[in-house]
Amino acid sequence: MIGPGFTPQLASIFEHLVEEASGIHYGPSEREVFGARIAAQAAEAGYPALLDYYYRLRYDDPDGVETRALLEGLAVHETYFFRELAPLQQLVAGHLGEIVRTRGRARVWSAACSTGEEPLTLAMLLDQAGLLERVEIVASDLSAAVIQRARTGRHGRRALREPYPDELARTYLDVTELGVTSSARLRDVIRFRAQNLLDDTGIEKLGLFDVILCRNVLIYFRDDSIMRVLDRLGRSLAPDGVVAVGIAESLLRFGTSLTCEETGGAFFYRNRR
Amino acid sequence: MTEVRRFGLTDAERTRVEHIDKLFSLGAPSVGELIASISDASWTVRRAVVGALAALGEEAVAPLCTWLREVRSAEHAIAAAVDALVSSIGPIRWGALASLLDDPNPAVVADAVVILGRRREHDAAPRLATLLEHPDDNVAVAAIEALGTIGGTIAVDALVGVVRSKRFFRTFPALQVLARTNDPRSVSPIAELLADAGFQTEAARALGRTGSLLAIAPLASLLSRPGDSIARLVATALADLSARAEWTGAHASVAAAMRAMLAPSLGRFVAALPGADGAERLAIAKLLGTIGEANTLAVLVGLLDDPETRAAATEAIRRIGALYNDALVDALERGSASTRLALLPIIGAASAVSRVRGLLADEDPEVRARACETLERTGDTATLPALFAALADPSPRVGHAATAAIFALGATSVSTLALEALGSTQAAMRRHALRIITFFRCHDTFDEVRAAIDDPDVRIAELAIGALGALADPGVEPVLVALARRPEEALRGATMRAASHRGGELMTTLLENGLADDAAWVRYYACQGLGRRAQGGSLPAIVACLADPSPHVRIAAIEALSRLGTPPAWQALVSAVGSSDPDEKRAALVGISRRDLPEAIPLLLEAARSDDVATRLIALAGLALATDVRAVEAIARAAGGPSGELRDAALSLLVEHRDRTAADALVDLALANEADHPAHFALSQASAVRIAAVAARLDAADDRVAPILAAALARMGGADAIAAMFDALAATSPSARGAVATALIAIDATGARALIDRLIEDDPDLDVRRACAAAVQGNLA
Repeated sequence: MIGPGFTPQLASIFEHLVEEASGIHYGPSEREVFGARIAAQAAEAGYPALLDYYYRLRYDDPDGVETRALLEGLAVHETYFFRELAPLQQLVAGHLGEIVRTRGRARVWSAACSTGEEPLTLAMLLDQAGLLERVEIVASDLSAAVIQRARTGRHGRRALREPYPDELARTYLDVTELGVTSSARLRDVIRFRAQNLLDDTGIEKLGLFDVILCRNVLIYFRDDSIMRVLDRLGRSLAPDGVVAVGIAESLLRFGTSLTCEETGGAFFYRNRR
Repeated sequence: MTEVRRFGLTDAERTRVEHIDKLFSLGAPSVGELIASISDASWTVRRAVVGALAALGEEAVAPLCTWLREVRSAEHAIAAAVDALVSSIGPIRWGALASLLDDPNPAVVADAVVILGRRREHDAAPRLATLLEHPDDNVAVAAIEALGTIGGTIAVDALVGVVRSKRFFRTFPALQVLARTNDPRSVSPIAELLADAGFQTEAARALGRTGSLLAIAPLASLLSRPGDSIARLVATALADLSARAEWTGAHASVAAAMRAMLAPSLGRFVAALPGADGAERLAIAKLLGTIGEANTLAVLVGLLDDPETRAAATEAIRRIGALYNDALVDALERGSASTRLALLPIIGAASAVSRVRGLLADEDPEVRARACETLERTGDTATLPALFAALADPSPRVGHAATAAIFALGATSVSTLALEALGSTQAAMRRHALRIITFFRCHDTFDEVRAAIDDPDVRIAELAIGALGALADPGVEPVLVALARRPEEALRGATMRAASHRGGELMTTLLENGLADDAAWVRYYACQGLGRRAQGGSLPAIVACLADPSPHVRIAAIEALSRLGTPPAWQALVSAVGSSDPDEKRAALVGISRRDLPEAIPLLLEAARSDDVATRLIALAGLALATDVRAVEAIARAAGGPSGELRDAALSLLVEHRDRTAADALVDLALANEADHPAHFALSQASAVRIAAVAARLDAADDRVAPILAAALARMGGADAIAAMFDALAATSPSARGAVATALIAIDATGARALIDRLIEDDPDLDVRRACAAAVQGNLA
């Protein structure tokens, strides 16, 4: 109907559909890659015409199976061990340590963990501080496929990037020419699960957390989706819990119920009291 | 209450705005009461007051001036009064504002200066020039800004005077404003300040903003001083200068001059990288793209891992990499995934094939996919076996990239390789093989394709049916008829798809029978297939599908109707435009767009105002086919709107439109927006109608408009655009003659120098003679 190729009209309806399902916004600058991935997914699903595939997703996907397959195909899994390490070190030395001392246990949610490098890094730091057994780590991602990979503990060679802390890497990672394998002991304490950040019901079931890591995720969302996610994260925070976002991200312009605090050079967000 | 305020007016605000509307309708007698409301606490109400006072024109000017002089009750109210005078319709009588300029209160004088500047009151320039000496710095700075906005010789001369005065609070803003005037006379006085340590940094930045060829030499001379910080400052200024030269169309001559003057200093810029901040690294990357050589490539490759410099480094490598492809290929093997992703789209040389082929085994699927795309670009059919092997890649993205590359490369060996792939034990490879057989219509594959229909993998069976539909073998249609009775819904659907690509009554009957199938997707494809045939006899059956319980079948019916040119089909489409389902509505809009009927225009105009971006895009695309002036106006409105996606699409439609009205709309958009608005780029897409539109507007252009239009012609380049520039040297407007002469010198147009020398001697306008002399000689006449 709209014509051959990935026209702006087709791009617009697919972008809207993907954003509605995942919160992730693809703009004109990413259109080429977005179009190529959509075309690959459409063909895999048996729809040579993109519009036929769109109608399948929109009108004939009652359980969301095909939509989830599309989101898997679109997902960006850009992460690595020890990424933005300082805020994690600050959390372990400060907030988490304090909670464990006063209450005996703490809960952390890594809300978009991809192949698991972030929660595994946190687990290494907690182990070094002697806190690993007393902190429950839940790690989730939109993509069930990457969660499956996270559970295997096998990571690509790019999961470790210079510079990184040698001591931690030697202790917990097996690095070869083929890739990186993380310690099974760390993986075993992390509860990996697929979770869409727009799925309020699913998130509610996770319970309350003392720390929520939502780093380098919201950059893929538009403002209205960010507001929705932040509202949900705020409701998943324990009364004195904190949210950590990426170093380059700031939530201040959104005017949400979260307020920013600086602790030891790292920025965290708490619910307003 | 908070929610109400957030998304609209409060009840109290609404009441006050309605009162303002009433006062406006009473005209002049209500001016006093309107001005009394100018300090309303609500911005929305004040905006209504400003609009009313501006629309009353001259009636409100004197009372507003009096209020500014005598009342001035609050900052927000003063800002509103200034806005009202700035946007007041019609000419303002000079006397009213002139009296404010003599007021003893400097704040009143500054407000009047701002108003004159924002209104671009050219006649005020001499008086504003005198205010540069006002004892109050705020007044002087306001006058600097106002003169910069107004432009012209008086303004440039006055600003040059301020720059040379070296008065701290005035010289700095004057530097910035002078740099933006696009006047070649600005370069020399700014360059003089490079010798003064207190002004050096700002002067260098200002020289960059001039975008002038004349500014390169003074900036390069700074490199005689030691230190990395100087190199970073010069790089930043030169990167600005290059960006500005892209806009003026002078990028080629600017790049040539930079290479000539800065090549010996290449090492200085590279050495300055480690201590540079993000913006400076970006500037150095851009600069290296202009003046770099083979040994610079390694430095640029190093910048690919930094997200801040990746795009600039990629562009820089693209610019110089074509000359040094071997160095790029070396970097492919040593670089990170980011490096490989950035380099692969740049590499196209056949010498790179073996190394790129090696990347088909990379750990990153996106790298493997881009490697397929790169092999496609090399055009080397010897890579086909490797691409066929990639069809078995676990990532669908890679398999499809390999398939696309095979489609593009072709070759006689494809049929054999595809048949081999079809015999593979790997399902992904067999599926891609069937796609390739379909694309190339490999007619000697009937038996193998027929056998694949019985594959237990239903996706393979579906693709095999699709491939069968593409073959010319006489055995195809009986097989399709039999398949239409198979119990599997997916196979019957695939059969309808295959039948829709074949002609003949037998296939039409098969499709018509498909409309009664129990499965919605079978009915969908049957309806689509009948639509493609565009046979009126199918109309009743298709219309019946408009009531199908499945929405996608209804949409297929709408699409099918759009191909049938009968009145009942049109009526059904018009009715579907009113659907509450956005997809049905959009399908109907595409359908009515195809008809090129005047009755379609109001429906498309209405849809062009929709809240839904996709609907608006479709409506605008439909309007682009129409010659109705309202259609062009609607597209132009979208092109000037805030939505980037709509704006870009609408600009593309205006560029593709052949009518003069569209070209005029593009000129209007460029003139109404800043230099970084994409309308400027759109306007510079060369075409006879756009050249004519720009040239017509140039003839009477003023100081603000002329440089914009001259730059548009310079960016177009090409014989016709240059010829229009030569013609404009005889324009009625002195501003046009001066701007075009400057642009012709900047792009080093052949034959321009002799004509401009003549203008320097003979032009009746002193400003033109001086501007031409400055452009040619690089100094003030």
